[in-house]
Amino acid sequence: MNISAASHTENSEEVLKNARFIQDVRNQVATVVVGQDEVVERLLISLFTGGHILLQGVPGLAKTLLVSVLSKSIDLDFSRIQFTIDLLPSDILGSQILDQKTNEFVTRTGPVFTNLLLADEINRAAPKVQGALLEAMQERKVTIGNETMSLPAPFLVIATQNPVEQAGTFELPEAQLDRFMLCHRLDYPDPSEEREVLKRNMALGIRKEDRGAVVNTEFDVMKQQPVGSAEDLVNCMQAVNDIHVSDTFLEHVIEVINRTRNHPNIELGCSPRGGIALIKASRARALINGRNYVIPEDLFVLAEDVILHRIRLNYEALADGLTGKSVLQDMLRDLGATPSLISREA
Amino acid sequence: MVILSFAIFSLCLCSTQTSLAENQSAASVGMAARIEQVILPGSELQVKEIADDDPIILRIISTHPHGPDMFRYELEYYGLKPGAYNLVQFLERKDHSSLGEVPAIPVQIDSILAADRVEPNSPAAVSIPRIGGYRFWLTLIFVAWILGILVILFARRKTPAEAAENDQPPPSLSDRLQPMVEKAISGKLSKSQMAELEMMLVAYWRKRLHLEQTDISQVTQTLRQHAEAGPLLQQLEILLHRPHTDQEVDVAQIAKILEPYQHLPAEALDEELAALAS
Repeated sequence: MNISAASHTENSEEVLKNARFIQDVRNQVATVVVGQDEVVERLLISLFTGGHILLQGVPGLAKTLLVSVLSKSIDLDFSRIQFTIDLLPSDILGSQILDQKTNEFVTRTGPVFTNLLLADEINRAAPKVQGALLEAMQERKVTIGNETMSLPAPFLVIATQNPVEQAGTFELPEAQLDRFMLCHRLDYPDPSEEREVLKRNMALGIRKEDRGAVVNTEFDVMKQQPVGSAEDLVNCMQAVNDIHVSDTFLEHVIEVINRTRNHPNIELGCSPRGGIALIKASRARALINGRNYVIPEDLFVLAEDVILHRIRLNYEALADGLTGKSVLQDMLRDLGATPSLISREA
Repeated sequence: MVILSFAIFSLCLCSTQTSLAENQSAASVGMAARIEQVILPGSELQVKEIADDDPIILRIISTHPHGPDMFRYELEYYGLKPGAYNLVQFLERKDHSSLGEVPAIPVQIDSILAADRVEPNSPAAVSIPRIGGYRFWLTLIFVAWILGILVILFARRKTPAEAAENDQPPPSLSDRLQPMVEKAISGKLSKSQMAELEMMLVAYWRKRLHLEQTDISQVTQTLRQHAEAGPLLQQLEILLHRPHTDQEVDVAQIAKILEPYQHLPAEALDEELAALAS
């Protein structure tokens, strides 16, 4: 048997169509947002798997712009909610109001009834509001008064958190963090990307409006023409389900999950939901990278985003100044270097 | 003139005695009472040192000179036992001279509790029926506390030392790699062991290329580009992860891929790393 490592993709028309759609979306995003390829990949993973994503990053990293351009690229509805301390569940879900003409209560749906919902600074709202949103995320249904309504499909929540400014915030508990399939930590752009951002911003210019002029923003120059349809999205979601997961890869996932539960520095390990998320995300990444099967690289690349928000360090580890990231990195480096927890001796 | 003075003094003394006798102070057990304007002859008086079985606790609140060789006192007392008492018994001269002729200051201490009520504890000090006293026990507790700390410190120091002596270190990567390769070549590995072998080979190359401190997500991409490690890991990926290879791993192909690692000495990797470190 002659093994060739040159091409691992099935050259079917469907695969090519999906690959073209993914590339078009990435190109469309790249016209507005500089760099952030990792975030775009994670957003696509969330979109293709129907899993919600939490973005952790300081303000000004183009999170809103990114979600906005992504929604326009695939012709999806997009809403943004700025979470504040005085926000109420009805502000998100909707409420019943009295129509004075008919003297009847009419249901007014809230901004949650959309395809892409950007929940900006989710940790600024009270737990009751967070709970309402997270329940909607989980159930994909909302009850307003006596009426239960289904949320549109696809429905994806992209929540953001500022990891620096913690004063006056309500930290999401582990059980609620677990509802997010991915938690991605955004980083500052590197100098070359920063240069490009500045150059593009300088080239935005102004436009005349009324009797004055308005400075253009990235939102103004964004292409309004979608590069894909909801049908393309459905095809990709279907393709993700068809991605092959070998027994060997399953063993790797089980090993990683088990190590989080038996690690001396970890108090709370990964739930089974973490393992499921790792498989789902790996499948989506395989599709994005033009493979019809998952490989260990998918696991290594996605482990931080899938696992880190699902584990909690114990007191000793925190006292030693360890971080979740360093513990997870050490744990992944130990794979293979130390005996497996689940492998049986032959 | 002298006779007249003596007569006045005697009259004052008599009147004081009479008034004290007439206005006998009374109080119930434990309740304080005051007697004011008590004029007593002689040098200044003070309260005697209190004894354990004293039935009266007396205090001089204020003292004022009152003519020649006399003082006016304000007294406060409370009784511990019912009965009639003379407060003078609890006084002495400040200059330690004899008390001499001092009019009585009678007081009456009454009990307001019924006779059948439980008696209060005796105020008298009794010897504690146990070994040692407060200081002894405090010292003992302090010593025990110090010993406890020493035991904890000693145990904490001892535990890692014992662990180092008793616990066998886990087998190193190079110790485990060759037997696993042998088993893989002979087709004796289960699927979970094949998964472990794949990770072992990644760990092996990570060590060899000194990528142990590199972010794990970048390691596989670096290994993929390496002349030796790249083809190995890619071929393993194809064999282990590609569709339709789950049913049975091609042993011949595995043997071909792992042949370079079959005769790898157990210490090869460790020696190489040690040499590089030195």
